[in-house]
Amino acid sequence: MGKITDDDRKRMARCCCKQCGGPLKMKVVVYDPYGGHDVEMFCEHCHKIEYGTEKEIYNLAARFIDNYQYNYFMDMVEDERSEQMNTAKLCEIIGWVFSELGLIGEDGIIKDKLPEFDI
Amino acid sequence: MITAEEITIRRGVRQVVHDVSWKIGANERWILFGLNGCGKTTLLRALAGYLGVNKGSIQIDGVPLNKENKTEWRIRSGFVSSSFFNQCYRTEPVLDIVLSGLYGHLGVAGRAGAAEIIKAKALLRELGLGSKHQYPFDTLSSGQQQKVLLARALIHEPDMLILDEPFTGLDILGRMQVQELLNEWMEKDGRSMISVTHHCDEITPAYTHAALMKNGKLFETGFIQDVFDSESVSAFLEKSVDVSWHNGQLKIDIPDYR
Repeated sequence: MGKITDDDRKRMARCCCKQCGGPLKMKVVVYDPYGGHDVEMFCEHCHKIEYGTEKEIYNLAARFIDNYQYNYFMDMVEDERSEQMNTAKLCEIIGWVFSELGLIGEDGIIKDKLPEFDI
Repeated sequence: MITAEEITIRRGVRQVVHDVSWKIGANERWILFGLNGCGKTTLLRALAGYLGVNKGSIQIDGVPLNKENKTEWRIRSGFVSSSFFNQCYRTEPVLDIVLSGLYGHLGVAGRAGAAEIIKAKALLRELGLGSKHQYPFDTLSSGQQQKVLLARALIHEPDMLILDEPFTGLDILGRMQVQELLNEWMEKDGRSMISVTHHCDEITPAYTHAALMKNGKLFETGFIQDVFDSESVSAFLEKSVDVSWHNGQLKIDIPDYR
């Protein structure tokens, strides 16, 4: 990513990795020890460049996977990794729905618009 | 389009690229040819805006490339280098990697809209990776990874492609798919390309120019037919070689290779 903005900092504080639910941090990704690097949002646990998702969305996705044993990646061995990939996939879908319904703003989930349920 | 003026790149105390001056104009397609370890990849990284230079300057349409405009140049150009991107990407999903090409960064930062996603998926489908867009980069074969990087480079329809051994790891069908996409890309006027290769069968008259690189320096540059002749290549390899073109295919024979 380019320069770190206030929105990036807020997003890091508010959001989590859509695979593992872990925290995001800004990381200098060094691709050349003699002067090549970029700053990217990163999940240390998954060791990947990660833009993340709202925590509420992650919780919904994880609950769905848990309840329904949802598996989009049929050709993969069912393990922790495939479960995380499925969670990430669902986060994208739920994120899109929330966005289409106007439930996400610049500062994340607009809680006033949500019905009262436990996420 | 892009001009390197006396650029030097150091790795610690070692100079990998020495005083290289090189001008690549619009509609020019260059082959960069050299032996292992001569500095080709380092030079390409700098030209692609992913590595600074210690001396000299790189100019894009007359404007020096610097920290402020490097992202803009990365968006205008497309860079494919498995040796480079394999250091950056591990478990990132394929689709995110392809989309990141739109922004000149390693990450996608969540900004892609439906149109961009559809375009990325169409490119992946053309390359035979339609079912892989959600998969982590490190679950793909090296040939598939190479195709992902090509899709990343092509998604924003760049003015220039900078390709570091683009056919590495590709099977026979993969090579044809990639070549077809590159041919399609080259059809539009004003586009330029630099491609590194070690293989004579990849050097065709579709390329207009060639540069021979040796020990961090450009040994010779010029029109492809002039550079790839027996005299130049013999001097370059310090061996007597026979260079010939048959049906548009370059052949280099080294009678006494020991």
